[in-house]
Amino acid sequence: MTAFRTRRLRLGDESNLNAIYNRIVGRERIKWSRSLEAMRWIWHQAPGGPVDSWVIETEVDTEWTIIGHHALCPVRFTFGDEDLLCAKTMNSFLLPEFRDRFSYLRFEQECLREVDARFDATYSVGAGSSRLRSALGYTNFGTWIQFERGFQPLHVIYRVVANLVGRQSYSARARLLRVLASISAVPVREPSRELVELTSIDAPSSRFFSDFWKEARIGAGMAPRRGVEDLEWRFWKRQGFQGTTLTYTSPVGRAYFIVETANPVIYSLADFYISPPQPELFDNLLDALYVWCAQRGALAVRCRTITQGLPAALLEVLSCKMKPSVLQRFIPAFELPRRFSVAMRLRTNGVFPVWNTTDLLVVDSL
Amino acid sequence: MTQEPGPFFRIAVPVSTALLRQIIAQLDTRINLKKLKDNTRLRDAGADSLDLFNFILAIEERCGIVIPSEDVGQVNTLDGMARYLNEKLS
Repeated sequence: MTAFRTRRLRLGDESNLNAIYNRIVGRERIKWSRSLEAMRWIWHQAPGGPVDSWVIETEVDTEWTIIGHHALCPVRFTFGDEDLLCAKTMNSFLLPEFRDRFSYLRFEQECLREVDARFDATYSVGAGSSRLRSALGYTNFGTWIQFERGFQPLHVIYRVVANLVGRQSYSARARLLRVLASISAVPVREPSRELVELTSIDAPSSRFFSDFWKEARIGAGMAPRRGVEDLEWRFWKRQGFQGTTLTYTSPVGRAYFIVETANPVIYSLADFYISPPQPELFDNLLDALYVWCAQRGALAVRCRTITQGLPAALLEVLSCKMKPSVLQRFIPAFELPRRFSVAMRLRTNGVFPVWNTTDLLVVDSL
Repeated sequence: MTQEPGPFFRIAVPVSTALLRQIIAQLDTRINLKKLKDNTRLRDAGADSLDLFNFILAIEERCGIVIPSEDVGQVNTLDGMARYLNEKLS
């Protein structure tokens, strides 16, 4: 009979766990793997506090070896003027060969019980996670939709060609895409709204972010907090993050976009917020964003949100200005099951508010 | 007044694989009962982690016992589950 034991993660386990994580997600090559430093940033530097993390071990030749893991990562949320602490499931796994020898769901249930009082809600992101976690009280909140907007008529063809040619080398693919993009660059028009560009070093100390969320949170419903500390943790100070922050301020409203530019030709809109949520302003700002991306040689920009993750009027604008990604048809849909604490259910009278969120909470999903 | 036999009947020894099949049939699972022989692993008959978990919960509820996570390897076939319960309940 195989012996198992479960316990809290210790500092000495981090390197082992990170190696297993990289192996499972297919990032064994050093260039693409998650570094220990990046893992520690997520685990220990979250403004909501350290991650609660547990491991499952089995005994192999008198040595205990990690075969499974579950973690809950605290993420600060706001609900009007109320501060909430939620948690996202992180790097949950049980190696396939142990799946009919150990009950992972019971283990997760025990982990959840241990820290339940700490969080107002817990949630998860992944394909098929709603069904699995329904036994733990999670209900599906929405499905992720990936939108895309190309800046050149042939951008899809260019990407297919580049993928075929540069299958083995990311840099060869990127080089080819840049060349193709430059052949038929479409002249970009002047935007009607002007965006201010901030680097990840400048953004945290900018005037814009010093009071943005203080104002915006009132009309945001239930939303991940977007204070300086939160955005630093998710983006600006996170190892490996490459991107630019664009802000907009006028008497009619304020907005920001955080654009990931790690892929030099396919940008990703990692987060955005518009306060107040005016569809017309959003429409104009998206135009300005497209011009900014196209001027820098991007072929397309992507954006991910969930079906119920934005006010309906803004989601409608997004659906008109961008198209659901073609790639989405070929991959299983990501779901966002969530589970509210008893206190939270009472506070909201069972009516679950809009969860204003974008790509940012998918970081390190498994 | 007579009591209708509900789905949550108590299990008594000896536990047979036929009885376990009856319990699975009452649950909303992906297990293909036609494919499930007494010694087939539940996973091989289409069960995922949720199905296994629900099956174990249903058994626990009907037997008044707890099957620890680490014992799951012994109860992942109908034969194994019947043997395990007959040992625990007798």
